[in-house]
Amino acid sequence: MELREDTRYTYAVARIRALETRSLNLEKIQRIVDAGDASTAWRETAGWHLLPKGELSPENTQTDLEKFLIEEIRCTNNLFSSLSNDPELTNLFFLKYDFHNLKILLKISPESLDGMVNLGLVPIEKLKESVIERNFRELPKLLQESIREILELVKIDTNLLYGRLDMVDIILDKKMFDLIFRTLKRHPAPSCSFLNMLFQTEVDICNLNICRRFKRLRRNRDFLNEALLPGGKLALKFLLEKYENNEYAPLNEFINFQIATFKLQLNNLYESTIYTAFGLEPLVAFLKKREKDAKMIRMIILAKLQGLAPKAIWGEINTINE
Amino acid sequence: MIMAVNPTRMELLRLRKRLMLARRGHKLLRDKQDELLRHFLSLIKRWKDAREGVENGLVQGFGLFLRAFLVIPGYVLYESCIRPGVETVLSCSSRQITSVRLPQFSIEVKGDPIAYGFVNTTFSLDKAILSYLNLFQDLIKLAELEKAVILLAEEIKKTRRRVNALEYVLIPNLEETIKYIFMKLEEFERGNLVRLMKVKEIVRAH
Amino acid sequence: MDWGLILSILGGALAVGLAGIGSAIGVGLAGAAANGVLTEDPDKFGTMLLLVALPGTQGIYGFLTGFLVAIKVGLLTGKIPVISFSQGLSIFFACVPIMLAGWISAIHQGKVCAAGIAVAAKKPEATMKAMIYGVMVETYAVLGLLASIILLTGIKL
Repeated sequence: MELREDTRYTYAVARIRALETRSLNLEKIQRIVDAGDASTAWRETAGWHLLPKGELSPENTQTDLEKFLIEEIRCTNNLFSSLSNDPELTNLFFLKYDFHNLKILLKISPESLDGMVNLGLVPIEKLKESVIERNFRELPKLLQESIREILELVKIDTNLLYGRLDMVDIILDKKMFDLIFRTLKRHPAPSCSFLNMLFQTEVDICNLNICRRFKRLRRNRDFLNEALLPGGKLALKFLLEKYENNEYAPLNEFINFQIATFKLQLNNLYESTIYTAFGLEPLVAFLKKREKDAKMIRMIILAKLQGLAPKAIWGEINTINE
Repeated sequence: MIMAVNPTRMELLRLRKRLMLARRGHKLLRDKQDELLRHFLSLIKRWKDAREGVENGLVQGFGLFLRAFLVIPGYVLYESCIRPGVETVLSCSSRQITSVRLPQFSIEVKGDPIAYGFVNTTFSLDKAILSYLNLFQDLIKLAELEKAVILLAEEIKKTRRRVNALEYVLIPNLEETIKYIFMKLEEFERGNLVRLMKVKEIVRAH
Repeated sequence: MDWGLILSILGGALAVGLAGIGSAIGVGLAGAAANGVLTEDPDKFGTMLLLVALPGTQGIYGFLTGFLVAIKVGLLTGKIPVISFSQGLSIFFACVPIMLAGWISAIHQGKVCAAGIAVAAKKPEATMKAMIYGVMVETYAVLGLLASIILLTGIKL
């Protein structure tokens, strides 16, 4: 019998369980949605915050909101990495911020740091400097090789395909998942299979969504082949074949079904962490839940600012939960 | 108003010529004004339709964009739209209606509007971007129509002022002056006649 | 050399030692979990106290067994009877139930209690239920202790 227990995480899991009581549930969301305006809705989120809750100023509510939520995510990330005993694995969850910053650096010649988020493994100033000077020795080992490869690819591709800026994003997204799966293989830990499942399912959902969008945008098969992410459970060949041989309606039906299946799997994966008393899994689930909550709060309050009625807001919430 | 002219036969002839000219000018301007109005009315109708189309399109585009804006994190949205994927070239020419030159714009869109990754963005953003791009043509058309309407309206105003000036000022003035000179001349004639009769009477009394 | 005495003492010592190790690990696990909760919610100290202490009992059982062995072989009074090799081996084996049951059950009880503490953090009203699960593990330590006592008393010196 293999006991998949990682008792190094006893403290962490108990602490996370205590923090989980703060997460949003349906009842809290209902209260936020039903609030009269944006500021009361913000007040209703009390208890969710790990940091002392700031007040939204009426003049620039939106920037305030984004700022507060980024700070909350930063706080969650710090907690997450401080509780983790496998930094190689937990760092994988912050890669997306580094790659986001890289995208901006590669897309425009960087002058200011606008639009970059300081949540990644590398502080944005340092990242910018190393990209400009093409010197990556200072960066974390995890990123060095990847960035070099990316720069090669982007240089070639932007020359070949003038104006196809989406290639930058596509290359970076692919490289990120590539890096994640490679790292997971290199660092075996009790929770690796969980993380593998998690990222795989995310990739699959992403790939299916890309297929549907491409069909709607009437893109060709070759471009789809470039855009699909590696590492999912659904073989790319299978997806491409489906894409080519089906019209929109049957493809959509297929994708809807598949996405529903994968989302269910993802949900089950998160729910299974409830039964994991020792291990990294509950921490990951907590991080993901916090991110989702932040997204939900942002959405509801911005919708309030735009004057959407509660019913319309529920409609939007349902579309992202679908 | 009677003009300050000498009531002479020469002047009368000159004024009569001017009156004829004014009447002909008036008629021509009248025709031009009618023509302009006709164009203006059809333009207004087209402008109204275009305006409505653009406004509806904007509302729709904004609604689509709002959905993307709510779902996609702010920093991702910024990154996705940081550089446009399309290049637009605006070329300008003109056409003529009566004496007015109206501008004509046309744009050419090159490249792929969807210049971002597909992992963190959603289809709602694609829809919003595409609807804005479609709207772009209409927007340019609307700008063209709106400018044409403004130019035509100006021209109509100017023409109407001229027509009115002719109709209510110059022509009546001329007519009145002509009448005055005519009467004055007759007056002179009658004075002469009386004087002649008086002279005749005096001569006869002797 | 008096092998009988040596074996008896070995049995008692291992009973105390192994059960103690188990308890230490168990309390350690539960304590770490409790600290995790305390970081976020210091008011929960009282509700978690029992859950943390629960895996500690095996150590006490082990100690009790060790004490009984000491009395049995007369180490406390100093009047040590002659113990044959087979008697010594019997005493050693009599200690085995609490030795093993105490050692392993304490570790697992520690895990159950740590999980129970996580439950207490999330749903304070379920603390007692979580504790019952912890106590269930205790049963086997108690059975081990009972077996050891019965066996010990049964051995005639």
